[in-house]
Amino acid sequence: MKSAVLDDFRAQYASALEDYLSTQGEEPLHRAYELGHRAMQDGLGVLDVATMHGDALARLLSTAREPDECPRMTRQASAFLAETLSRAELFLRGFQDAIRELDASHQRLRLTERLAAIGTLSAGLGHDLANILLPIRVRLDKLQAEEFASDVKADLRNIRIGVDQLQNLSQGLRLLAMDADDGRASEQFVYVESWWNEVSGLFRNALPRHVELRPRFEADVPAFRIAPHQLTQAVFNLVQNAGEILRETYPAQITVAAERAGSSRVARLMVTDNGPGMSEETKQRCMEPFFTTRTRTLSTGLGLALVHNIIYRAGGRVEINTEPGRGTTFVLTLPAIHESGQASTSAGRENGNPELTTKSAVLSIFDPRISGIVQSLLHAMRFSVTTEEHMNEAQVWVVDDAGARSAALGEFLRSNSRHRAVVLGTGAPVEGKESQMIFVPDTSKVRSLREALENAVSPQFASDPWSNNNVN
Amino acid sequence: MSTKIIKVLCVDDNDMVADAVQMKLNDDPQFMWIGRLHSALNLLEETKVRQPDVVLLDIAMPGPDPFEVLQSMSEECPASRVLMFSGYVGSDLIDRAVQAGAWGYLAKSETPQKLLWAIAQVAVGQFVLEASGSPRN
Repeated sequence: MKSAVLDDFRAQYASALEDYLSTQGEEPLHRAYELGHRAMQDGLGVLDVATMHGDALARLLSTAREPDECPRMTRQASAFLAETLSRAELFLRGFQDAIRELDASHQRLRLTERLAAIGTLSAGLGHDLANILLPIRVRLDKLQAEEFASDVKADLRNIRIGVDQLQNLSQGLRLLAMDADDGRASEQFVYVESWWNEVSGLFRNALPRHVELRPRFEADVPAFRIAPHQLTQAVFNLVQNAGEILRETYPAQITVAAERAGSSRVARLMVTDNGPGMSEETKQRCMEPFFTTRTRTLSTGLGLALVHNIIYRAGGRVEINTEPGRGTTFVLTLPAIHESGQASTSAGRENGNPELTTKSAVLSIFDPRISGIVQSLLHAMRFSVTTEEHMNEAQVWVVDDAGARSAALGEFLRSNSRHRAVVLGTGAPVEGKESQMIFVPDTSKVRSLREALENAVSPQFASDPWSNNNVN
Repeated sequence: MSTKIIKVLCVDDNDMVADAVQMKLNDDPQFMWIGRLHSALNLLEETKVRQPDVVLLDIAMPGPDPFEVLQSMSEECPASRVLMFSGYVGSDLIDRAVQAGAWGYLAKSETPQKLLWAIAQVAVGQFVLEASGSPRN
């Protein structure tokens, strides 16, 4: 089979090469490209093609009328061969890229496996730490409320500092061990500028005084698809880490930047410091749990591992750009709210609907326990809960008896296309307003309730209301 | 906030934790410690006898599955509200607790003050979800 293929290919190649040397035209060059494509499909190797090329060229050179023609023919034949092998070259480069990507994926997988193993350990360790710390803290509270000599009080304060450090470790272990569903938080989103206004004070408090913290956000950065508290935790760890590294650096600067990425589906958030940078070994290992370079201060070594875990579970990735003496940039690439979602929201505003500046919801839920769960979730989303008298200020109405309230529900939804209703249990949709309603048939799962509420407050819901407005 | 004294029953196999909770509750006149069980084995019967307002229920304990006992508690003793109090936190555990009828889920890593607040909230019929890594935080 291969012999027949080789013979046929050899004949066609020799013919095309001869045509090219005599005409230097585009058509034989195109044939060269196609022959190269065919060679790959038929399983011919680059060496097979090179051998055929050598044979064909030798024959053609032997027919040269003038010896002076040989250098020209050889040069032109080289161009012909390059065209023939161009597909193989592209394939080879693609293959090299794929190997590099595979290698990177393999490294990410290894890290993820290690984190999964450490997650199991962390859950147990966090549990045991909590059991130990609670009794200590209760007794410490009691002791600190009493009168003691100043040196004893100082000792108690130092014990408190140590206990608080352990407490932070316990919380960190829990975050490290958090299950995939907690980490997914797939329907929550963060607009970077408003998020920054809330968290920048917290970040600055975690830094030495001389370290300057600067934001640099591109205009129109799409919202990051991640739970706000998780982004805060990840960036806080990076900023705090950078602050420790910059303790002896003057002037010291940390920049938190956000930018669009090539695709509208992702956006980047970067934390850059002007510190000493990392060695290659530190760069390779710094995301591992319990790896630390700190010696001056207490460190759990969990910070960067937590960052990786949080970002990875949100569907993103963490990259590090660093060189010794040139500072470090952590690049968090995260899924973003699609532009179509934003466009749809903007369209809603342009349609003359009043802007809903208050983030409030009305609850009409008979079961006080379910009502309490919904309130707790809404507070976590920074929504206030208001009464039915203030219905017009609310963006969301959560109701468990939609049938009895269908008239009021219809009026609420028709009054503003950005109003949403979350219907608990069963209920008929309001005619023509189905896209503004989310149904939660099973209210016994916190996850279902949370997803429904997140959908109701997400701008993407407006862009794709038909995708799934039932949460099970 | 109600001024009624809140009767609390603690179900935890860890002596140190139970002692600490008792000490904290005894320091606040709003609460009354009415006892402690080492497992959920006799929880239903003890609840009927002692009639706590709030039951603090651990998860990882020897004996019967606390979630199954919680389900029975919700059906037979609805006046005694259960607040899950555990070192383990996860959305699957929170979902199971809510499905079985719990009025809240509190991580043991929260502060002792938060524990008192959570018990008081549950006592007046407010659901509490304070657990790092949970939807609340």
